[in-house]
Amino acid sequence: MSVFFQLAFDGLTIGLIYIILAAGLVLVLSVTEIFFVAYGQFYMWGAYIAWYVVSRFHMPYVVGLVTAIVATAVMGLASYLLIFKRMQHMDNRFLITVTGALGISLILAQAVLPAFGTQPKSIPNVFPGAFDVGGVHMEVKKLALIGIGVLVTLILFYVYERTKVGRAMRAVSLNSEVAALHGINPSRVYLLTMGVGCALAGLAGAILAPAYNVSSGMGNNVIATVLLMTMLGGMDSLLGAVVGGFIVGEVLSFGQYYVHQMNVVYLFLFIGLVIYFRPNGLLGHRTDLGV
Amino acid sequence: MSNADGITKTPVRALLDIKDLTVYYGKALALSRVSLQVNEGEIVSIVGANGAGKTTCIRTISGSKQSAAGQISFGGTRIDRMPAYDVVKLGVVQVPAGRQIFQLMSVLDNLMVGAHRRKDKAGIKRDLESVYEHFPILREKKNQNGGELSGGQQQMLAVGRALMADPKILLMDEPSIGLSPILVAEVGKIIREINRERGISILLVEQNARLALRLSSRAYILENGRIALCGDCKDLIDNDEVKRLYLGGGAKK
Ligand SMILES: Nc1ncnc2c1ncn2[C@@H]1O[C@H](COP(=O)(O)OP(=O)(O)OP(=O)(O)O)[C@@H](O)[C@H]1O
Ligand SMILES: [Mg+2]
Repeated sequence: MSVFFQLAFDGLTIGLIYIILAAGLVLVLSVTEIFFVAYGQFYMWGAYIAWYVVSRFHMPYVVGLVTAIVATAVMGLASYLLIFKRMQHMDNRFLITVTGALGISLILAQAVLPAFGTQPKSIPNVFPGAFDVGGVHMEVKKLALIGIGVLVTLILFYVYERTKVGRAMRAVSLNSEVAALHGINPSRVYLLTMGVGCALAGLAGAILAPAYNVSSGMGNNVIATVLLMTMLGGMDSLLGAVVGGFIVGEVLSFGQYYVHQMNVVYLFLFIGLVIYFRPNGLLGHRTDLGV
Repeated sequence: MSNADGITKTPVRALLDIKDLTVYYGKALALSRVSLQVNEGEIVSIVGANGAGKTTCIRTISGSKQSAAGQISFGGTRIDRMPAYDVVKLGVVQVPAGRQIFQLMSVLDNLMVGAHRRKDKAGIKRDLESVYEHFPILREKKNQNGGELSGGQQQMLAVGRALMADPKILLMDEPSIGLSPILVAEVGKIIREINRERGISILLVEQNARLALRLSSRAYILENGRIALCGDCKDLIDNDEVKRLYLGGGAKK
């Protein structure tokens, strides 16, 4: 029995990373309608920046976390202003924005090597200690990750569902022309969304850093999984991101224990099956990017 | 019935003043030198068949579509190079064709989007109350998603959302389309009320010429992107060509 709870706990830890990643990607996909394949690199950069600030400048972890969030947000804003803003008004914008995103992805993936080296890194444990509760081994660093993850998710839901800014984002995601007719500037909303979305990826990387290793392949490794899980939950549903992230985390954790290497195969088969029968995903409403 | 007839009755400067508006989609001409005025407090209609350019005209006024030539001014301010999200701030508010409410947002959120550019909290609250008074069904369903409303209720929501912007002029694109005859009459009544009680000017686009000519004081007949006729509705109703083409008139000689 304690094995079950141990696996569930570990699954939740990974799941929260995926929840935050998926939530950010859902925002980017549904609001800006950019198929943002570079997203995983922001996650990697977030992790590296947090690691760098903590291990090189010997700053407290919080400073690393905040720096990672701010830096990835700025990178997201820059991507929009320099590349996507113009592309979004073009007729064939789907292909051209995907191309732009691929370019960003390649640049960010390569630039990390001269900047931070090729060796995997780990932050000296900033949350030492562990509890044993009913046979489940809970490390404080994982509890911290869960705590921050839940808090961020709650804040995100509140902003998206209950504030004026969130309402404007939802309106633009549903119909940008009508949103503009009522005084919302879609470009500004796209810009904001890219900033917030990329900051969420950076944050996910930064909260992962103390608990797991940071490596240059992590952006590439994660993007396919996150894209598929947003399809699983529904690419326009924040709640879907939470459900999808939770499922993926748990399946990976249990799968790792019971079926080892095959777990990813089973996971993708499962997601494929769900999408086959529910093209909108579990909680989504749309299947395309409006192009 | 001449053009001059309509113009002599307009004061020096109309509230909405469109001069020689020309609009293209790519290379296809959609509007050609359209001139049109709406005075303060007036209801004016644009009547025309499918593809005549009615929606294009409205979308160009509200800033969704760019014009190629001509001028649009509202209350003396040029608005033809302004983005849509700034035009609405001046009080020029479009009720889009096919309602186009935000299906997956609550009725209340739909209404609040209408007030996006306003800062006067008290005024917003008062207008929300007044929208609920006009359309009690919206209050009843305020927490339901817009997409769950019936067609008629969605039209009311679209009008309510526009009213939340505190408009000086409403640009209404075929508000009667797809509604039952009873609801069409209801929409007509609402348009009159909005105009009379709140002094909001209305530019009404309709294929339902009968409704349009009954509601408005003046009308413009649009054919293939050009103004073919314009004048007082009471004259247009008796015009043979209008009867034949737009009022299904042949039978009604
Ligand atoms: N987005 C668009 N792209 C290209 N052409 C368009 C577009 N919208 C309209 N048109 C063309 O412009 C012309 C005028 O269209 P518009 O929608 O303004 O007509 P309408 O009078 O509103 O018609 P309806 O009564 O069917 O709504 C038509 O020939 C139409 O094919
Ligand atoms: Mg139309």
